[in-house]
Amino acid sequence: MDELRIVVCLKQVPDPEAPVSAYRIDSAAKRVTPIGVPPVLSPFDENALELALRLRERHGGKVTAVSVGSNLSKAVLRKALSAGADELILVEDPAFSPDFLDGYGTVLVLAQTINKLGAPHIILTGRQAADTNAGVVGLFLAEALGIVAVTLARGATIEDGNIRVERVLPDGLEVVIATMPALLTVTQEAGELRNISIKNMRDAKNKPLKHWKAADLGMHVIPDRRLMLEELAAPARERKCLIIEGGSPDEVGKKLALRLRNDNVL
Amino acid sequence: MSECKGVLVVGEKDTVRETLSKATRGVVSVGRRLADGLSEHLSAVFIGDNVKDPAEQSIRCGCDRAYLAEHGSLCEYDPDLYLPVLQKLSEDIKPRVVLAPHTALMQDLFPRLAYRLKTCVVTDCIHVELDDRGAALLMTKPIYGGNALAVYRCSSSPHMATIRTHTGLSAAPAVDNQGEVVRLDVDTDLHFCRMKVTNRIREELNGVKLEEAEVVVSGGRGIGGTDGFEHLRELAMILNGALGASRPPCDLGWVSSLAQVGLTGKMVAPNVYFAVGISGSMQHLTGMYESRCIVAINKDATANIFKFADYGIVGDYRAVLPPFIENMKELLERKV
Ligand SMILES: Cc1cc2nc3c(=O)[nH]c(=O)nc-3n(C[C@H](O)[C@H](O)[C@H](O)COP(=O)(O)OP(=O)(O)OC[C@H]3O[C@@H](n4cnc5c(N)ncnc54)[C@H](O)[C@@H]3O)c2cc1C
Repeated sequence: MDELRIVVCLKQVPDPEAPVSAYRIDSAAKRVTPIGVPPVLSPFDENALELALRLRERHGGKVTAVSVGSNLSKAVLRKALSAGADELILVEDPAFSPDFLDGYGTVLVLAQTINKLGAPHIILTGRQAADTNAGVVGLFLAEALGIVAVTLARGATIEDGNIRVERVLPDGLEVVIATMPALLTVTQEAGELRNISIKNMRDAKNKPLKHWKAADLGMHVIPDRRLMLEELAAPARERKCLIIEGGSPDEVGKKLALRLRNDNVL
Repeated sequence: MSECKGVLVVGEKDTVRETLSKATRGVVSVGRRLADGLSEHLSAVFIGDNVKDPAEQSIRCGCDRAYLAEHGSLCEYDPDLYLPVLQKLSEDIKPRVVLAPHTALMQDLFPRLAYRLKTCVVTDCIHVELDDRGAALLMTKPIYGGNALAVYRCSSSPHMATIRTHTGLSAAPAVDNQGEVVRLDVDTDLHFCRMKVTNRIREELNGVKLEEAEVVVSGGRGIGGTDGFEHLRELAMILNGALGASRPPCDLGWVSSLAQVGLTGKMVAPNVYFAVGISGSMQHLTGMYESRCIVAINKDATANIFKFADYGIVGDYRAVLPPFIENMKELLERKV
């Protein structure tokens, strides 16, 4: 096999660990505006990047990170280079804003990008993005490229020209052998992205960072949306909490037990 | 596309009990409601090596027709074998709406199917309904980890959705519905096999299954380590419940990752849910807010979890949990 080529797809999202109060929902504009929430790499995409780096450590090759969107933050996406990716491609165009592109449209852009790069052996995505929580793009992309997809990967190695994937099940684990090229969607069990040192960040400045626009991909019409956002609302489901109080932990513990019993909860 | 008609449910069987899965039953009742609203048919399809029983049960639960793709080669889920069956059926019967429970299998299958049918899919919906004209399916789904609720519509056909499966969805009662079972031809030459499962390790969990437990006792990062979880295990045991956790204890290896409750873990809706040392992130709440009663123990009075709890104790769980457990034990013994 020639040099292993791995592509990791990354999405920039508002920090999903931000406090609940930071999420403002503008129903009229049908937009979520997180107040004071910085963008980050979607956490499962970080897991995917980590898996890519481990594959390269073991088998050699090249890791290319790709992100599609508008208003991409270079600072956020550069993290991929600092962590160890060999190159970063920002596919950025006003036409690629989430107002125009849905998951399907994003996949068409990603597929064009990957075709332009030259067919990789392995494509990695997070199992789902932390903003839309859809879990569709990875599988759509595999279909668009006509390659095999294995979801919920927590580890992978190459054996005899095939890829061996450890896949998380609701009640355990399975090992899947798949032909390459293959797309894997990666889950948190793959492990967190490695730590980044100041030196890593400095080295990253010398790595290639390319900007591609719609025209560079030969895309002159924006794909029609298949998915329309009709409404956006804040979830309303707060409850009234009865706080059990008392002079000592013993008393509070006892009172809770009695209360749950008397209210027929337990 | 006006020629599209009817609602199709892609069903799953409960592999332990060899029956129609509870999650599928819930989705059948959603499908029945939509089909009635449209005055159209409700069908279900089952794929496997032995799926006649669940197919017949789906009819008793309200389906007008159950399609059956039965073949030895289909006993294990393989998208390369399942997709052609579903693609052909969809192209033949042209359903308006295609639904499935949001299970691990369907999360893998539905996006692939949507792409092949040249449409889209909304995953993990908590509600679906028809718009005023009955033409489009409005699909409600939590996004941003549950911080917002989006209602989507799909401009292509069929309209596809996976439905979140914990309760709140009342499973359809077994009525004396009449319907027909239709066997589909299975093209058995299809075996070109791009992926193969070579090994499977099921983790045996003792006691009550998390998704089926009436009581769930969950701990979070605030538990501080494996030792603390022993208290929670004890409480779960005396209440005949299951142990759960937020994500950090799973990531840190304090408990099995199968215990994770939330957006990317298990969805549960027990009678009573204990959240101990859990701050109440939306991603966690997503997996448990439909519990009938939520009890929170947290040392931070401003923790978000208290906004979603029915009963709360502000305090260190190490101090309040042991007396609570002692008293609970006594009260339960007194009853019997
Ligand atoms: C895409 C995505 C998916 C995710 N999916 C999930 C998911 O499925 N499930 C999930 O749970 N999380 C999920 N998360 C993570 C989630 O965002 C939170 O990080 C996580 O739920 C926080 O867990 P926690 O409440 O245990 O920890 P923390 O937020 O750190 O809270 C710990 C709490 O313990 C309290 N505490 C500390 N010590 C004590 C003590 N001695 N006694 C009492 N209280 C104490 C503290 O006051 C604090 O409130 C996901 C995140 C992302 C980005």
